[in-house]
Amino acid sequence: MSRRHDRRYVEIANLTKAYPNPFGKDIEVVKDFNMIMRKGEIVSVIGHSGCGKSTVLTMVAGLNPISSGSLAVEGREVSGPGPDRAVVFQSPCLLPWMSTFENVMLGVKQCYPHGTKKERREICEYYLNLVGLADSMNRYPREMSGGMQQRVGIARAIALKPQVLLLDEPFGRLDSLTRMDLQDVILDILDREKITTMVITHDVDEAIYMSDRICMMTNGPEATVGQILDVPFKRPRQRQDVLDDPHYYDFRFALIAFLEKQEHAKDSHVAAVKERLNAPEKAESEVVSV
Amino acid sequence: MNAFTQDPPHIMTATTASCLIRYVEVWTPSPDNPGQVILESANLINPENLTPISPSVTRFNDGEGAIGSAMRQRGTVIFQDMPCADLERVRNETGADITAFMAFPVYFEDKLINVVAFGLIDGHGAVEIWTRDDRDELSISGSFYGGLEAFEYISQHVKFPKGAGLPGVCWKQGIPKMVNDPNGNPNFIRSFDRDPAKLTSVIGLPISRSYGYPASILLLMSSEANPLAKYSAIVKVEADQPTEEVPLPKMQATAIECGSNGSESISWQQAAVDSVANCGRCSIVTGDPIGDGYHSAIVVPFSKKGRTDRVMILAF
Repeated sequence: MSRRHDRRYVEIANLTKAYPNPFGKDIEVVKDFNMIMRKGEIVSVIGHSGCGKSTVLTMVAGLNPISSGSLAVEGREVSGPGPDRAVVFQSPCLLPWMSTFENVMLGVKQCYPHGTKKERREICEYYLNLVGLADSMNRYPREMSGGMQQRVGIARAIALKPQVLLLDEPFGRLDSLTRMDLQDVILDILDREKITTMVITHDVDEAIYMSDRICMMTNGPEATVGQILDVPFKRPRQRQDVLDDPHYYDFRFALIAFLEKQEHAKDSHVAAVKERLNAPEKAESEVVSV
Repeated sequence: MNAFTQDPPHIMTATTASCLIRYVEVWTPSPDNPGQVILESANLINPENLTPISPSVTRFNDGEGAIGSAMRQRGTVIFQDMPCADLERVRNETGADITAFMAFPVYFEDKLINVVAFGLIDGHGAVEIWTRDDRDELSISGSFYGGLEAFEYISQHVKFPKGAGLPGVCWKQGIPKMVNDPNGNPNFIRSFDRDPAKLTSVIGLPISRSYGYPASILLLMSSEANPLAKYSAIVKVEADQPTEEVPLPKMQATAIECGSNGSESISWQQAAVDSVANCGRCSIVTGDPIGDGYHSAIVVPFSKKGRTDRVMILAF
C-alpha cells in the first residue's frame, strides 16, 4: 500500500459537531474526533448509547454537516452525500411497493446512468446473489423477514460500488443467529470487494470478529476517541478460529473494561462539562480522558 | 506565598517496597563539544542511602551507546535484553541486578540540557515509549513490563490519537501528567485487572525539543509492589511577577499537581523544585536524610513556551 491516499483513505481530523441548546449555547456532542482509515480497512466504532457514534457516521456520509474540523475521503473533502459513500442503517428502509430487485435497481440506475439495461440487471443479480437472495428477487419487503430485508439493504448499498461503506448498527434488530449469518455475508463481500468500511455497533464480539480496528468513543457530550485497538486476526476470518484464539478474551476484556469505565465516569463527565460551560474562563481545565 | 508554604510541614511514612528504579545517571552536554555528553552524576539507589558510583565511561558521543542514542533520537531508549553494553556496564559497576536500562533527553526549548538514565530492577511495573506513527497516532515503540502480561499484550495493539489517553493528553498539552490509582480512575482507559501487578500511579512525560512537537511520550508506571520511587510527583511551576528590585521573574513551585501521596506537601520539596525550576537543569538532591523519610531525590524540569513549566520529582 504505497499510495498516500490509500494509507490515509478516510481522514477525520478534529471533527466536531455542535448543536445549540435551548439557551443558545452550542453544545459539542462530538469534539476533536481524530481517525485515519486505510483503504479496505474495516473499523468498528463502539461506545455507550448516545455518545455520538451515529453522529460521526452521518457526518462521514455527508448527511450531517460538520461544525468544525475536516473530513476527507481519498484526499477529497466531504461536502455532502455522494455515491462514493453508501449507508446501511439499522432499519433497511426499503420501498414497500417495489420488489427486492427493484429496490436494488433504484440505486444502480442512479450510479450507472450510462450502463445498458443488461449490465444494470447483471449488477443487481450479482449482488443479490452475493447476499443469498437469488431466489427472492421478485418478493416484496412485506413477504420477507427482517434479516432478509436487511440483506436487500446491504445488496442495495454494495451494488453502488461505494468507496466507503457505512454500517450503522446494521444487525441491531436481528436475532443472534441471523446476526451471525449476516456478519459472515458482509465479511465475505468485504473480503472480495475491499471496501473501506465503518461499522457502528454496541456488540463487542461483533466488533472483534468483524474489524481490523476498533475505535472506542468516550461519553458525550464532547465525545471523542478514547483509544483505538488494532485487531490482529488474519483475514479471511473463521468465527471459530477467532473464538479459539487465546488472545480473543484479552480484546474482549479490554473493550468491556473500557465501556464499564465510561459508564462509571458518565455522571462526573457530564458535571465537568456543565461546570466548564457555565464558567468558560476556566477553559484551561480541559475535560480530558487520561 | 505558595502551596508549599501554606501547608503545615507534613511528615509522611515512605513506602518500604523496593523501588523499580535502582540506579540513576545524569549526563550533561560537554562545554567543549556540543555533540558529546559528560557524566554529571551516577548513583546506586539503596533503601537507606544513595551510593555514588564512578563509572568507567564518563563521556558519550552523539549516537554512541544508550545515552548517545537518546541524544540522537531525541527520545527515550530502553534496553532490557543482552547484549547491551550499557546494561552490562551498569551491572558490572554497581553489582546490582539491573534488568533494564533506559535513557531520555531533557530539553529546554530546543537545547539539550541533560540526558537522564535509569537502571530498573526486575519487578512489577512498566515503562512505555509512545511515538507517532504514520496515522498520526501514538503507538508503543519500546517498553518494559513486569507482572503485567495481559496489559502488555493489549497495549501493543492500542493506539492513541492526539488528546486521547494519558499519552495523547501529554502530546496535546505538551506537559507532564500524573494519574493516581489508574484502575480506579475512570479516565485511565486501559485496564489491567487481569494481571498480578496492581498499578498505583502513572506518569506521562513529553520528550520534546520544542513545545507542541514531542518526539515521544514516556510513561512510567508504579505498582504496589515496586513503585518507581518511594514518592513521585508532578509540580506546577510559575513565574513571579517581576519587580523593580528583581526585574527578572523568578520561577517558583506553586502546587503539587499530582503526587503519589495526593497533593500533600513535603518540606524539602520547595527549595529543590525552585532551584531546578530556575536553573532549568536536572538535579539529584541528597542529604542525611533530606527529610520526611527520604534520603535522595531526582528532580527533572520540563519546559514549555520558553520557561520551566512543570517539574517531576522522584524521591527515594
